[in-house]
Amino acid sequence: MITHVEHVMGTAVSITVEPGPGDAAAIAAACAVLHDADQTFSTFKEGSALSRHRRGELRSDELPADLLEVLELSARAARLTGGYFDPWAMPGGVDPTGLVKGWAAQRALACLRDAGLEAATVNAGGDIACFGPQPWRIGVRHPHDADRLVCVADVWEAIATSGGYERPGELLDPSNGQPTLRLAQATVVGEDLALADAYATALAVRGEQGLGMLDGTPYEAVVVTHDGRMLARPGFPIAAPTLERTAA
Amino acid sequence: MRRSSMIMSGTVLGAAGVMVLPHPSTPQQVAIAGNAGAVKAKHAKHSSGGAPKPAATTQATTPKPKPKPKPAAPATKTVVGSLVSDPYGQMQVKMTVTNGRITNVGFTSFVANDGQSMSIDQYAAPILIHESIAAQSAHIQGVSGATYTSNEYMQSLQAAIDKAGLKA
Amino acid sequence: MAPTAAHDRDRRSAAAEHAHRRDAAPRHRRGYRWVPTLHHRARHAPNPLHTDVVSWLIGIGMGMTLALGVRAESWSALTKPGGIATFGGRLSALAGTYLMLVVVLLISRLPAIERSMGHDKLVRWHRQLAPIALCLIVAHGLLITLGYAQGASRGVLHAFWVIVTTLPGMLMATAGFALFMAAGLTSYRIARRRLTHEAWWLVHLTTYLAISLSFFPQVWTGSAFISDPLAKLWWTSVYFLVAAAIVWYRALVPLWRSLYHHLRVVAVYPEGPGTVSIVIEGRHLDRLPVNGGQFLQWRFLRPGIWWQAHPYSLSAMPLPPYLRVTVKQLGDHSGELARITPGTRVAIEGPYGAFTRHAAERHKLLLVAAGVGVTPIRAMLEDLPAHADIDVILRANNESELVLDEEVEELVTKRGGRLHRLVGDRREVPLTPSLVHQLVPDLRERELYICGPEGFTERFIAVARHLGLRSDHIHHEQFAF
Repeated sequence: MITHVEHVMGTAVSITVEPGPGDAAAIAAACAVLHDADQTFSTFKEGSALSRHRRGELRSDELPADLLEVLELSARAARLTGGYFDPWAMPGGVDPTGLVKGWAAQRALACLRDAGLEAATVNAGGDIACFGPQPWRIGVRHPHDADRLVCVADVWEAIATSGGYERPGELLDPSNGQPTLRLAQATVVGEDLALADAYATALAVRGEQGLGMLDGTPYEAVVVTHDGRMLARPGFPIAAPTLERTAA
Repeated sequence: MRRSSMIMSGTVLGAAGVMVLPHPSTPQQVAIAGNAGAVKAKHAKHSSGGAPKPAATTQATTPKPKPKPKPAAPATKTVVGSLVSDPYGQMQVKMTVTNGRITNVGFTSFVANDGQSMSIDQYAAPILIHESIAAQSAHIQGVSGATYTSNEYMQSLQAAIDKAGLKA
Repeated sequence: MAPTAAHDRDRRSAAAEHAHRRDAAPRHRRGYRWVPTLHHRARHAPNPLHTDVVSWLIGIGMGMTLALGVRAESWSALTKPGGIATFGGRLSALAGTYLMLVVVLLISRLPAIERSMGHDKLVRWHRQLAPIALCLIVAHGLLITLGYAQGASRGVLHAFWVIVTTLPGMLMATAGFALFMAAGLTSYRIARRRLTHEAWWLVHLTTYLAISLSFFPQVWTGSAFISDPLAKLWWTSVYFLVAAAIVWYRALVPLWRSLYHHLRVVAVYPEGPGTVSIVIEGRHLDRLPVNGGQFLQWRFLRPGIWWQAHPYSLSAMPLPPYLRVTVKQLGDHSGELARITPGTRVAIEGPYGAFTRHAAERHKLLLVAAGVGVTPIRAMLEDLPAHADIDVILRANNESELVLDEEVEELVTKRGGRLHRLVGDRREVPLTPSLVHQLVPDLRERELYICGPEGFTERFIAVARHLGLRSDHIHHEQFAF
């Protein structure tokens, strides 16, 4: 496995690929996608499309297609999570940053797949998108103890974790508008990284009762409560323990 | 008698005509008026099993030959977005844009593709995991945790894993 | 074929031979005289090409509709549990609704089909096809519920409940479905006989509401439509066209015609026991596109009867400014005709009917009428080509029931044809092949037009077939609507 770390979007993005022809070019393309997303969505850049949109400077016909796509995705996520993930509730204007990372990571992954690589993963600050002939063994970090894991998950496509490190305003409970964090951490696996991100955030706000939100969806979750209990939905893909297995 | 064969021939003809047309499994995003830029085509396939969902690709269409002169902009405009197909249904996002700000978001259609999304079971009780695992002995290929900044990354588990495969 | 002198003699003697019966019993004094006129030139002919085009379009539409349903399905959805049932349910919805729209189009009075096929034939098809459409819609409900139940691994009732309460527009669909069932069930002969015609008609009218209601759930949740704006446009257009046809031809055109011709009753004359002729005066009657043998739906605008539409044939070609119908008081409308007094305003729908000269391929004709069935025959006698060779048979149980026979005789004589009056009950006048052959030896070379009570027409047609007349040359007007 080859790993490339790109510092972009305020975090470190780890791109790991199965070596193959054109892997360097593919990685470069993936990084370009990440930087593009940064240009469009960074709220720290005054001239980014998102910043301008938040200030009301963009007319509807000036909205770039990427921004529109992310806004639509956010709208869908808001509906699916029952409003517990709501980019429009952020102070200062709509802020889909919570799922932009996942969205961009998945876009970057597409470059890798389009290049014909066998297997790859993109980890954007804790949100991971991947593909390959076998599931990736991804550890779910314990929120209180950096050297320990809640569990190991078999991930085919995407995994996202949300917890006490989120930006202020993202964790508003729609029923009372107050910042709320009922869980120490929530991790969601599924098909789409951006949605998994949204679900994870929504779960962290909503709490244990929110686990039912994922019924009938292709998403699963494992959560950690404030008192340290670790709870997984029965369908969560906990990896079988192995004794000797190399990371490659 | 002749007329019934007309009706039957017409049926075959009509069916053939429709089958020949390209299938709209690539719903076009409604181009915003005057946007001479890209129109995105989203490939929305129904996924089956554990196959990874293909990510959206961007296609740029030829720009409009002459952008229309902007009339006095209406205060409110409704933009209907692309049709989105989830594994468990289809919905179309509709946004109202007022003076350029997205002021309202709604959904215009929903249908269940299969019976899955119709179930409204009580969720089964979650499994209690009794013990956390030491990261060192878990032989993992990556770590998912709450967002870390670039600085935080340096001390993280992910960095340790990455070190093994880092290439300049 | 020019009539020879010998032919003339035969004709006149034949007319005389049966005429003696006439003087045997007293006849009604009619109190008026209607001068028959001869129209030789063919006018207002139906265009069979129009009907062909409509047939093609109906077929193409059905093909397109089914193909849209097939196209919207994905293989992966089919292989999931319940996938096949759901697919079948969607197809049956599409086919059933399209068929229902065709069924409605049949009775929209669209001239492209009405002029060639004739109103009675269209009503018959409407009656035959509607139950099939209804069955398809029932199948749709069952299959979709079954499919969702299989897919969710839950019971069928649970699935049904979830569908009705969560999917958009399902309440409308359920309501529409209930209305369909009500209309369908009450149209069954057994139920229909127990209802007054008006009650039955009101329930039937709710099918328009049912069809309209089912439009919305289809475009809101139908998989063939929500992902395909072209398909949605197509479906909306089909609905719109059918609705437009109904509104235009069943409401607007008749309304306009009634106002334009400004019709009112001028006189009511007795023609015989229980039979009257109603003479109606109007403007611009030369602009009314009538062929001899056609009927109109009449509404006499008097309290208590204004909302009933009576299908009566014209018993003469329009004689501007007059129209005439001849009516026998039957059924539950007896006595109401007495309310039709001079001055009564009249609203019309039509003219309808394919029982006209245009249906004939041959110039040799046999016109047969029993009792009050003589009315379209009498009108048609004014509206035939000059070279037509005609035999006319009038059948009645007794003399007094031979209405309008003097006018018929006058016309037959003018056209150089033969008239046979068969008066008497069934024992005296047995309807056998030998009798009919005696009267009309060359029957198998003629075009038969027959109008009368059902039993009589069935027997006569059977005899005609027995004598070698092919069905394409038999035209008969069914009076019961």
